[in-house]
Amino acid sequence: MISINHLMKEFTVTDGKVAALNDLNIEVDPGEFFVIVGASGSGKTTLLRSVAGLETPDTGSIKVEDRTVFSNEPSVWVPAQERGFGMVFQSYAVWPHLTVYENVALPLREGEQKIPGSEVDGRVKQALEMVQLEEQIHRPSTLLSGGQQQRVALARAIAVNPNVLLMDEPLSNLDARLREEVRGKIRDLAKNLGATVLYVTHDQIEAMAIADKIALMSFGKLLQYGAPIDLYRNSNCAEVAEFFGTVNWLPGELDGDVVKTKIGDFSASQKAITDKNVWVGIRPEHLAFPEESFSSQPNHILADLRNSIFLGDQYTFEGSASDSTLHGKSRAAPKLQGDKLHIAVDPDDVMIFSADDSNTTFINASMADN
Amino acid sequence: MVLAALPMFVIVVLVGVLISISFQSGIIGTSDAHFTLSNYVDLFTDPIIGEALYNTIIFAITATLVSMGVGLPIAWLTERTTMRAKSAVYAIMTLGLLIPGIYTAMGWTFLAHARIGFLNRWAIQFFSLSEGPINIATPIGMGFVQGLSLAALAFILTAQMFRAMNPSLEEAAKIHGLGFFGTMRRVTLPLAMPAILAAVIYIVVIGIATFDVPAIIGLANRVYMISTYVFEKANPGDEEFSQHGITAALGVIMIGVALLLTWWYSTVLRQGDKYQVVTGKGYRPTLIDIGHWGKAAWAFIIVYIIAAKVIPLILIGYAAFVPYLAPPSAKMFSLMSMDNIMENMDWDLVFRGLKNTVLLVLIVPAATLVLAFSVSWLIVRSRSKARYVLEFGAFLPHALPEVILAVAAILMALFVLKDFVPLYGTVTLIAIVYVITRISFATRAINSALLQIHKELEEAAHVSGLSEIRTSWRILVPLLRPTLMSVWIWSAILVYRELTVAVFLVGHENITLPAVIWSYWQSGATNLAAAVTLIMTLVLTPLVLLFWWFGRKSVMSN
Repeated sequence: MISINHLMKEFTVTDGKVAALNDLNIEVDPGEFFVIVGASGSGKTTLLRSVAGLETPDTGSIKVEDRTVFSNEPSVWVPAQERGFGMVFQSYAVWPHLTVYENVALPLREGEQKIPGSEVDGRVKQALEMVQLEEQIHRPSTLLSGGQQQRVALARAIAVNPNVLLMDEPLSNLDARLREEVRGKIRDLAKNLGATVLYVTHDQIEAMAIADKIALMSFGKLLQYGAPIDLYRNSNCAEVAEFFGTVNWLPGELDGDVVKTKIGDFSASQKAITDKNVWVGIRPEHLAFPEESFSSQPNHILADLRNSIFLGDQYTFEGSASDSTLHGKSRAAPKLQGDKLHIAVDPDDVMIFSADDSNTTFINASMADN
Repeated sequence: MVLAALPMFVIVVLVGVLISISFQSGIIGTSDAHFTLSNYVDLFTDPIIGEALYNTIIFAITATLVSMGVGLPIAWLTERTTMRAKSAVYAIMTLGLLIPGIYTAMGWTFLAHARIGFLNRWAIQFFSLSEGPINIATPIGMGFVQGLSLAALAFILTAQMFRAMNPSLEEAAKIHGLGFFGTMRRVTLPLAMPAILAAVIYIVVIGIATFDVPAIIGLANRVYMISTYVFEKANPGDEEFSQHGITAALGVIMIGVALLLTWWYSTVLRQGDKYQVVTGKGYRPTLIDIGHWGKAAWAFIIVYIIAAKVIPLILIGYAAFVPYLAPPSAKMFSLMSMDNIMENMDWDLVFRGLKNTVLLVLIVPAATLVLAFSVSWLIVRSRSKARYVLEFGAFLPHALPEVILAVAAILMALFVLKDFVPLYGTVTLIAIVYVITRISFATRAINSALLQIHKELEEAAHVSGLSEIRTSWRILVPLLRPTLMSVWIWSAILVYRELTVAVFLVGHENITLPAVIWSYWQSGATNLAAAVTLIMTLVLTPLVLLFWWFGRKSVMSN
């Protein structure tokens, strides 16, 4: 549906050039809810705006339904108004001098898509019904609440019946409770319409909640893309793993089937790594307290308990063993065996990454921050 | 893009022509012309230039002192004290901006001319003096009149600064033991200094280049400023040739000086930012309670209004109905009649002037808006490098004295376009120069309004299928409408009353209404000049009210 090939874009800044898009290759299937996620400055918005036609990439190509909308070789450029997409902006961009009805009708009446005049009224009403705004239809848009403006923007985007719906952080200006409610509705709406959605957010929870597939970007590069659970469980690098949740990092050496670390040995169910020096990554929620008494075997650790805190829905705690600290989370209170904490980790939950330059640099920086 | 580049192209060509002609002598614009420095030599050895320069400096200093002396205290009183009826002060000062300097100049000539001035006649009568004690036709006198007329501008420039000043800085001084005057001297004024200095430079630039007041008061009395010197060289009377080479040379020097001052102005403004006097939006400074002094403050404002606006207007009205100028008396009132208007006035001339002026008012503001909108859009929205050039280009006419642009336009029409494009003596030529001189103001107003319109409003229109033109028409223009309206009316008023460029460019056919006033005034028919001024004012009033109406709704009023 949307295929992005070798897309590059550089911005000139005061001290040289920055790659906002660095050789991106993405394939989005028809009807897919595709979320682009990343920190600010990762290039996610630039990517979305390039697909929209609001930004011109330097090289590469963007194809939508076999129509090339951008390419540098041969040179192709379809202006935004001829691409026929729907888009919801971060600021909503609801035109303040028009009413709710006029906001939705203007693109239908005067846009390039050439909708017959007799159809306009019906389609405006249909779109506003879909977002439950039919009661506000003739209100000036400046009198709407933030949530209502967001729905006007959504109605305007879907009224043109787009095959592709682009959304740039559409929930970031809503308050937290409304955000959770609306994200479900947006997903349902998109699925009902059968539109392919490209959705940008910086919030990893939002991304996981709404996406069929997620692409994680960092400094203009695509780190990994796939189903949410793949990115969480089978991260291809330390940065992806940590983006979707805290990770305890332990340096170690691969020795046969196990990784030897200062606090004990670990083995993972899947390991494609053959390097000698590796990083073991364990998420806090994967620390468990087995009933049986401690015996020295892989994935079992004996630690001192520190800072056990009750937070209502969970406990957080720290287990300390030979200068290393493991951060943990659990539903039940950490259970001591004697005066020690017996921690076990399921081999499925042990992540192993090569201690190459990029992983090591990232992990050291992230540990220095904590 | 083409529209945006057009005004800049015209400016560059005008300046180019000016520079080129300043180095030519002989028959300019033909192969007989040769390149020389003699224009510059002649200019510097002319005995009058020294005197004109001296007069101009005295004039500019006086004008600045008077305008800041009036404008600055009123700005402080309005923004920082408990004085009452502040919106009335804003109303009065904005109207003050709209009343042309020539009104004040004419009124004060009637009042304080060495020979005919009423004050002098009364003084001679009551104190049996041999000659009048006051002479308005001196650099200081003219500077005073110019200062009265620029005080409204000084008020507007400094009021913004006082409004944005963070009051906690002053409160901190008070808490640490400084009294009112101590706080004023050690905190308020030093903080305000960059903005005050910027306003001073701005007004000095205007003072150096201004033409109308020195022309109305000084020319008949042979007191020259730089601007009126240029006029004399360009229009030396019947028996002499125009010395275009010399005016061009002087123009080049003035452009240099003006650019230097403007550069200094922007440097000072930037330095002002480092104090961080400006705080966030919606910040309401605490007001200083001045109690009953508020009445004294209002008395000050009223005296200013009477001196700068009311007396001149009344005297112009009086002069319009009497046959010759003399202080009001029972005899003079019995001589009052409509003769000036009904009999003596050359209605052919007045109608011609009115027709051309109306034409200009219809064309110039509209053209200015279209061009300024294109320039602004490119400056604010485009990412191309050209926007820096455009920004400078739009700013340039603001730095160039109108007198010099007018001279350059004459030279351009006479020696470059010549008969190929016969522009000399046409309304078109005036219109072109008017558009150029108005464009920086219009661009700046539209820039700031455009910056407040979120870019995504336009992008949303593009993505949903609207073309560039349709997006401008359906989204930008409606959102900018209040600003566009007030820029339009403001330009219309300025075009309507414009005298400087008109005096240089008009001939028999393309004369404008203010130029009719000027020609009567210059030929000594002061009562007829007053009568035409009265007619002009009657037409101006509805325009001003219109501006007032739209101004209230626009961003400019903030």
